[in-house]
Amino acid sequence: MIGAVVRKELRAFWREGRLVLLGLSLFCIFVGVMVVSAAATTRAQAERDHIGATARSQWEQQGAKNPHRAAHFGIYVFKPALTLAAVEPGIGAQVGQSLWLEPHKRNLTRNSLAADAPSSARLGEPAPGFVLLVLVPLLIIGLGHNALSQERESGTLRMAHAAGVQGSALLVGKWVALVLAIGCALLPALLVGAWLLPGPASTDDMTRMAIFGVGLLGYYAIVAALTVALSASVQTSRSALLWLLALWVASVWVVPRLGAAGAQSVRPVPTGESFAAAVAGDIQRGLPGDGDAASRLATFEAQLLKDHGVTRLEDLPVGANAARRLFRDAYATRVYNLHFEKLWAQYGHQQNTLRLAGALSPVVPMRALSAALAGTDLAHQKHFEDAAETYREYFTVAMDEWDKQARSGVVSAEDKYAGDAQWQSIAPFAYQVPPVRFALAHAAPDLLALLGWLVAATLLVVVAGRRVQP
Amino acid sequence: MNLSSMIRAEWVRFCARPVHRYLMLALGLLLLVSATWSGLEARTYRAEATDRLTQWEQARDKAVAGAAQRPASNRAEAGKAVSAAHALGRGELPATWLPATGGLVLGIQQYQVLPTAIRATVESRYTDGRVMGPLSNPLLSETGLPGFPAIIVLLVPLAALALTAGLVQEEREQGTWRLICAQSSAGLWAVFVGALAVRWAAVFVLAGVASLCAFAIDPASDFARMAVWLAALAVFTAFWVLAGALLSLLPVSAAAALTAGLGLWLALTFAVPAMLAWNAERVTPMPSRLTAIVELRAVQEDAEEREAELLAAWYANHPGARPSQDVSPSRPTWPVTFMPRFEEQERRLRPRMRSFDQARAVQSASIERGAWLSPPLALLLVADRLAGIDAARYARYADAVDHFEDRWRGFVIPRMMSYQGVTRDEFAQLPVFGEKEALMVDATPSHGSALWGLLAVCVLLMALVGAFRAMLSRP
Repeated sequence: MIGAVVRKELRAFWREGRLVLLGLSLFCIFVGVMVVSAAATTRAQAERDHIGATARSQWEQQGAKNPHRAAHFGIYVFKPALTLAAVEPGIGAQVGQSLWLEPHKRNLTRNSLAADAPSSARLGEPAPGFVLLVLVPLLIIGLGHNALSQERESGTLRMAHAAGVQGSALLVGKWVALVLAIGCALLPALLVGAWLLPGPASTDDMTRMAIFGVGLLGYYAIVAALTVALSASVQTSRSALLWLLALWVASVWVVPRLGAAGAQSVRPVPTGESFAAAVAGDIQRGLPGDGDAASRLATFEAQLLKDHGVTRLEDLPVGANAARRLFRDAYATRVYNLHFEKLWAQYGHQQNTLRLAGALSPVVPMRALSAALAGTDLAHQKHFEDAAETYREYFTVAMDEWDKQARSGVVSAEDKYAGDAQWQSIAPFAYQVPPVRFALAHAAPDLLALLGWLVAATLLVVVAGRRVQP
Repeated sequence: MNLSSMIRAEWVRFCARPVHRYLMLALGLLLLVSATWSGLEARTYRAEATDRLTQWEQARDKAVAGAAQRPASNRAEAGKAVSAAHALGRGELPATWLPATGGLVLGIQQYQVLPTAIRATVESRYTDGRVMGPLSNPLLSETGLPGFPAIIVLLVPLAALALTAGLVQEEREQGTWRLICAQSSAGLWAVFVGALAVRWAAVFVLAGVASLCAFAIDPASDFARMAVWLAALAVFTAFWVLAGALLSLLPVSAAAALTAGLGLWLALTFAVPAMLAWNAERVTPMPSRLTAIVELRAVQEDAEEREAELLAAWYANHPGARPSQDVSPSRPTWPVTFMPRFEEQERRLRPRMRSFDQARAVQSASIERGAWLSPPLALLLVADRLAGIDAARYARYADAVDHFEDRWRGFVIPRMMSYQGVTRDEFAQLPVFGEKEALMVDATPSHGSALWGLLAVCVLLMALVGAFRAMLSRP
């Protein structure tokens, strides 16, 4: 029975021409947006590679300098983009494009695209992910809102009922047909989109794309289920359309935004000024049990002098300033790590609060899953920033260790006693994007939420089908 | 039956439909939540600004108390004086802020995204003197509430279209239009206008009350800006009601009219602004922030290499600040050696770093010229201007910061370079970001063309609806 309904529905979609028209419109919009997005992603990655190489060569060719001043010149690092980032930019526009690594302090990424964007960007940036997650559900609503209400309006539902067609079989058939129709309408656009994606795709990229595809199918199945179930529950097609549009607005525009606003008010993050002040305060006053900066340094210096059997810093067989910097920076790094871990934990709590909104809208978990697979979510950002921080520690410690061994006593910061060989001895920052299992592990709650939605939507179709009255 | 009785009757019909009541309730609640949120955020923003001022006063009092009574007269004092002046020069006192207007509630989110409290410094704001800047969860910035005007721009059109698109077709499909045709003594046009007026009033009153609520929560809101906003909102609501009315006159089904309305909303709210932004970017591309990093480092490196030369040139240009033998060290060291470097870096980098704000202002002006094509965008631009966070005003703020920073450097750097330091008495002359810079920010009135464009499009649409009025007579 279900098979017959599916065949009949697919034939009707084809004959009506609505599917072809909407599919063609979708193809043009998606491919158009994809072309622009893929070109922008490729251009951005090429620029990052080029600027990264140039900034590195600037580092390597600083010439004769004081090593600490050279360290202050710093190193810039850039987060590489995954292939799927062209589809789902996620938080990409909100985070800075570069991260400056320098001695003494841990920086935040700077120069976000959002800060330079014109006012029009506040209405949403056209991205392929926006088309797939926001506009395709509209297409599903446009195709399926009258799935059953039209049968009721035209009297064919009564005839089908009289012929012994079960409501649940009818509704499940219409649901399956709607999902298949959407799949057929989208397939050409998705294939062209995959072809347009930048760069050679690795196995990891392919796995991410495959999971994204499966996730999309599940998401569309949820939207289609809600559409046909609602169509079965109201009397007229116009009412069905109105209710579905209201649901669409709520799930796409209202619930995620209210969820985010709620997360922000329930778990606020400190302002930049107070965060910086807290870090500076902890470094200056010391963490509980430690003394203040002056007493810590005095203790360290006393120990240093004792270890080397001298009474003045000037008589030390190692560079005194470098040794002091190593001590001070190790403490500062510890404090920075504590505060940044707390900050990221707070971001994580906010994300979990936002996830609660996923109970009211499937868009929330689907968007989170897409961003995780595209490497444009919080987890990937943290992974990158943590790697950059580990590298910052490595390069500043390496510079100071060299300085400590290369000189003795107190050396003026104006003295230039290191050259290009020293700068070139610092290994370049080599960042590896974590594999897909990292993304899945962090998006597990979102995957589960989507699965829950799918199960609930299936049950809804069955229940709505049983209640169908001609 | 006159028009007022007609409107009364339409109002009764409008209220009688549960779907309308639910729609109005949902719209009202959402707008009220968003308005309250924006009002509270604006209130917090102003409280933080007051706190910052208190902290600034405390920092100044502390600096005054710790300052030397007289200029340094020997090398030991000179060393301390230079360190104190350096700390002052890069400390909290050179604070600047974008003066918030009485329409802050309409742009509070933008005030939080853009740096509106830049701290000037004797160092380089782009390299060594960088401060942390605003801190926010990027996930919530991406997903969070886009601000009260953006919520209006997203929801008011949908509500207006849901109430008006397919209005006539639905009556036809239910068979009641024929009845209205037969019974209407005042003419179908009056019935139609009455129905539209009721729908416009219902949506506008909700949006207007929510706006009043937002303005009421902000303690420093101003009446004139509120009045302009309400006028813009009235025109914006009228545009969408008229768009729905026009769709109602088309010879299509009610569902098709509603779907077309949704398409129109998508096109005018997302597609047209995206195209305008794309065109603005094409005409005036935003310079690359990454390329600027390489340029910044090249300038930084060059200035460091020429440190001695720049130092000598600085003293040659400021003979009055040349230190006496009593205070100058045998070999100049940091931070004195760095000041000419920073001035040189600033001179060469400033045009590059300002090119971003300038490009943004030019792009925004280009987008504003085409904003009549997208009423939602036009309303957002009106909101930005009323909030005082439009790109042009922000660029003027950045100019004012540069101007103040020059004054600040002009005051502190010679006192560092001469090893005299800043004495207690000299604090009275300390440059403060105040009236002079505020005048610079608001030297040019922030009038845009967006509101007039919105009004023109609305009048055009009204004329179109009038031109198609004959379609009403089809039973």
